[in-house]
Amino acid sequence: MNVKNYIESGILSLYVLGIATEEEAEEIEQLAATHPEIKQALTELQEAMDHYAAQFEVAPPAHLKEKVLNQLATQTTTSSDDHDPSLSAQGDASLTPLGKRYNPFLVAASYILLALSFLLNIYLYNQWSDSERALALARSEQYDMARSLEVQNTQFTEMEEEIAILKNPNNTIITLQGVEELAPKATATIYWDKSKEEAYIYTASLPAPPAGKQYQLWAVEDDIVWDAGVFDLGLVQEVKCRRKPTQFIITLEKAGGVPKAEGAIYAVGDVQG
Amino acid sequence: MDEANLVSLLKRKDPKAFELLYDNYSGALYGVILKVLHNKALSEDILQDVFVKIWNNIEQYNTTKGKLYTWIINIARNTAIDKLRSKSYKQEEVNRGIDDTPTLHDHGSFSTKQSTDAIGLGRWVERLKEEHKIIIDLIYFKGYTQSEVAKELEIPLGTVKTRVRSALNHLKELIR
Repeated sequence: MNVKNYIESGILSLYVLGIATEEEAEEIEQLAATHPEIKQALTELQEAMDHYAAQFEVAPPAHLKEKVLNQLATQTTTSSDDHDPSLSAQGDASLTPLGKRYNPFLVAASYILLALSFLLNIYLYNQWSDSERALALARSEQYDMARSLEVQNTQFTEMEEEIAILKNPNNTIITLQGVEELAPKATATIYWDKSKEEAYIYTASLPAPPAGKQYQLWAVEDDIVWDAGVFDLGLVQEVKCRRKPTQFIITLEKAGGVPKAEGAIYAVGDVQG
Repeated sequence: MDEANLVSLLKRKDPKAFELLYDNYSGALYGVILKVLHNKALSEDILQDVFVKIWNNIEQYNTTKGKLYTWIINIARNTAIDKLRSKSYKQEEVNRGIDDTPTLHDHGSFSTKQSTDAIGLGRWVERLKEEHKIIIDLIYFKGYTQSEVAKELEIPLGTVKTRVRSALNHLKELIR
């Protein structure tokens, strides 16, 4: 800092006149202790004011001396810690010892703030942990949703394909009726595109096949019966249809199918026209 | 006895040291108090209070506060100004009537004649410009802030600040 500027700022005048703030007074006393030029300038001003004050000197009444000294004799030394603002050169500048400069309310407040900050940390940590858990859950849910969507997309694609098959205008539709003894209410439908020799079967109303068994479709042309393939319930499945059958028959055979029909007949349908 | 010795005796609450302090400084202290309060009976009470304060707080005195004389003059001045601002003083002032009330116009005129010659300073203070003297007295003896001085004298705050600085510098030159 520039000592000359500081001295010329006039702050020392305010100090010796007793109207510097407490902070300014402390600063000046510290600076005077470390900067001889400031100390000297301050001392000169103080002496000037001391002289100025001294010219108003008036001798107090003679009786006052005994009164004052007697009063001092009754003073106990224990009262020496009463802090009087008038003691200071600054009027309001306190002579409170360093150790007592901290306002007890501020100290208390700082401890309360520390405690609150501690509690807030715990609270925020818990919040963070909760958030982490919630995030993990959300991620897992999102994964499940994505998988579910994928499955649905696949199903949708399959359904579109099925619909395309069913909507084919070249199809000849053959309905097979369940036989009275085994599946009186069942039906099965064959969609047969004669131009391409493609055929599909769909049925959901035949009784569910027991374990190790599967339904098998047979095509009949005149007296010849040939294997048109096995199929499952509830799906549109391609079957073999190369010639010009006049009738279709469904039997229940062992899983994977057999070359020659062995099982019971479940449904029969004739090709119209 | 030099000042350091006096201070160490005062810190030991030596009655002889306090008597010496009284003999040497009671006039200066009483003069300052009178200058603030303009009331002899009240100033005598305040002078007693000041010596009690010196007795009770002498441990807190150190040279960073300036000389012992500076320190005790400030105690007297601040104690008197506190009294001047107190409710009880203002009440008494009303009871006394306004004749005895200190006003702006009696600066320097109260006790200078009988005292300054006696302590050998001469009338050097008479050479201080009136505009400087008024400001010093309002601040030093009445406890005005610079803003209050500006309001009282109806001059700009900046002018007050400039005059405070030059007043002190001028005073410093005068005592050389």
